[in-house]
Amino acid sequence: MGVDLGDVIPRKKIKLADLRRWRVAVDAYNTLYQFLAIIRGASGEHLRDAKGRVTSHLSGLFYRNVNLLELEIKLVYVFDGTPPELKAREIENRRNQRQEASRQYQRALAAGDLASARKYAEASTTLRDEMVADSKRLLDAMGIPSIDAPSEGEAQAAVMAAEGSVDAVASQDHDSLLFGAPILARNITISGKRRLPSKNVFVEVEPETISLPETLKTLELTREQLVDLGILLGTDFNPEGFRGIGPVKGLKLLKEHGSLERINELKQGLSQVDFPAIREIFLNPPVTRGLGISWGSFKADSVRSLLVDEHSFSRERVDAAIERIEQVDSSKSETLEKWLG
Amino acid sequence: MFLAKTATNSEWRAVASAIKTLVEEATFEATSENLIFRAMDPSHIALIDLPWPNIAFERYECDKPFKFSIRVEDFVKLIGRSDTKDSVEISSTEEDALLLRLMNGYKREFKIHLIESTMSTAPLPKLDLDAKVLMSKAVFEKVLSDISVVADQVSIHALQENISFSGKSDIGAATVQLDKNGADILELEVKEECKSTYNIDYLLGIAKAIGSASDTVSCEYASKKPVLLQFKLNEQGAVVRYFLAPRISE
Repeated sequence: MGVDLGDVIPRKKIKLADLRRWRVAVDAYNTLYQFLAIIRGASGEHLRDAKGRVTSHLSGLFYRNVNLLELEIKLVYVFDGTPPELKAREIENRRNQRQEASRQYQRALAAGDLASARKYAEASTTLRDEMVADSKRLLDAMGIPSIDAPSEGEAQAAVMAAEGSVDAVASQDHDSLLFGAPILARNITISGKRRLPSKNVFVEVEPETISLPETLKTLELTREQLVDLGILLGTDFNPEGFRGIGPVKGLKLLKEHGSLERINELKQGLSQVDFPAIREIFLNPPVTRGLGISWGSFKADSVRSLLVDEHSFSRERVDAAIERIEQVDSSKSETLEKWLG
Repeated sequence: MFLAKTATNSEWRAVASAIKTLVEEATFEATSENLIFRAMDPSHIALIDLPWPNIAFERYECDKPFKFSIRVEDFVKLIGRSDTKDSVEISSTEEDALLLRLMNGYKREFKIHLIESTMSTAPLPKLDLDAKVLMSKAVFEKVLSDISVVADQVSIHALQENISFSGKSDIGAATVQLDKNGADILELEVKEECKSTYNIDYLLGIAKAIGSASDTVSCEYASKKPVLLQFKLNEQGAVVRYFLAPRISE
């Protein structure tokens, strides 16, 4: 599930309002999976419409994005394209885990064990093509552009941030930093009270930002070395990482030796990982450069027909949210952009 | 080697607070002729341009171009330690740090570490503006505060003989009219009648940040174009220039 650099990197707790009027590229799959995992009924079942179709992802996309649009945050969702070949193992792992969780879910449900059922339900989340298509339709109706990345969505989003087309990348894991995003914003789409995965407790999830330049400065690493650190800890392309190496140890090793190939004690393990190829994925990922992003307007009628008419959302709740957006729209500010020389 | 010294703390205080309204990290560029800060807020609605010519300093040295970035909050706190009569000297050091010396009888010395910033210097807006009013800053703040009771944006309407500020909302409406010949208006030049709307928080925020460092404010704008506020920090050309984009709705 992506790189976790843990506690060694500097994070800044923020309020969502601090991002007012920022342009943010959202890692779409990462976010949709979060919604599917979190937005559930009491026994772990997904929200569904009258025809039995899952709507948890739409509910998340709509209500969470409304909060962000209200702050005039400009969002662009970036969807994954063809995954790099090296990711095959991770994808296979995830598929197996989901299938196993799905079996356990049925078993727990049959046994009336709701707590376990909920846990397994969260782990068995899958995202089907029609769910992605509906998500894109909803985003479009909300005036939020969707972009299809040639490969990894996170890589595309990071490059857009590095190019200055957006101000930050929103994702949960730290891969965006390895891909070169100057600012990573976490917990943007899921802040607030949130149930911990597989535990029946709620925690307050606060948004935070992580700056790449500051991270590199604090850790005294180059971006290349940060990628090496990621490889030590485990990325989507070598999910196991290295046995016995956590963020602190990994950091120490890299500072001592400078790069992966100079760490003698890992020679054995390194011979089994195609780390030059993994580095290449992070440092030179297949992305589309210089993409123009055009933000649309919020189309209340399309939103209503998609959510209320097609997917059985409560008209009252949807209307209340739409009302909030319309109030923002009525008093927009221009930016200085068109007068800049 | 870079060194810039002012006789009192008021310029730096105003500059630091003004920048704080806009960004969290600030990049200054020093050349032998001047010290420049220019940046936009993340939403690209406001821009501060701070050209600070070398003659505006009591002492200024810069043998080669020097660019440095600091965390604004830290800088504001440090400057906040200075007293009105302190001279303030800022200089570069061998390592990546900035040295701040406050002197008034005895010498206080602070060192802050520079940060790496990805910020690039913003380009300046190109504007052809139709109306210019020079007024006391206190009156400017008072007028905006009046309007802010009912609205969060202010419409400025300039005519040959007077300029009026107004705002309205669900609560009600407010209007303040100032006449060209009145005591509160120092200058009013209107090439063409114009009316435009701006966010009060931004205008009031920058005016308050400048504090007592400037007594007057010059306000230039045109219909549906940005407004340019200028606060003169001293007679030698140190000035804070603040551009703010207009609101779309009228």
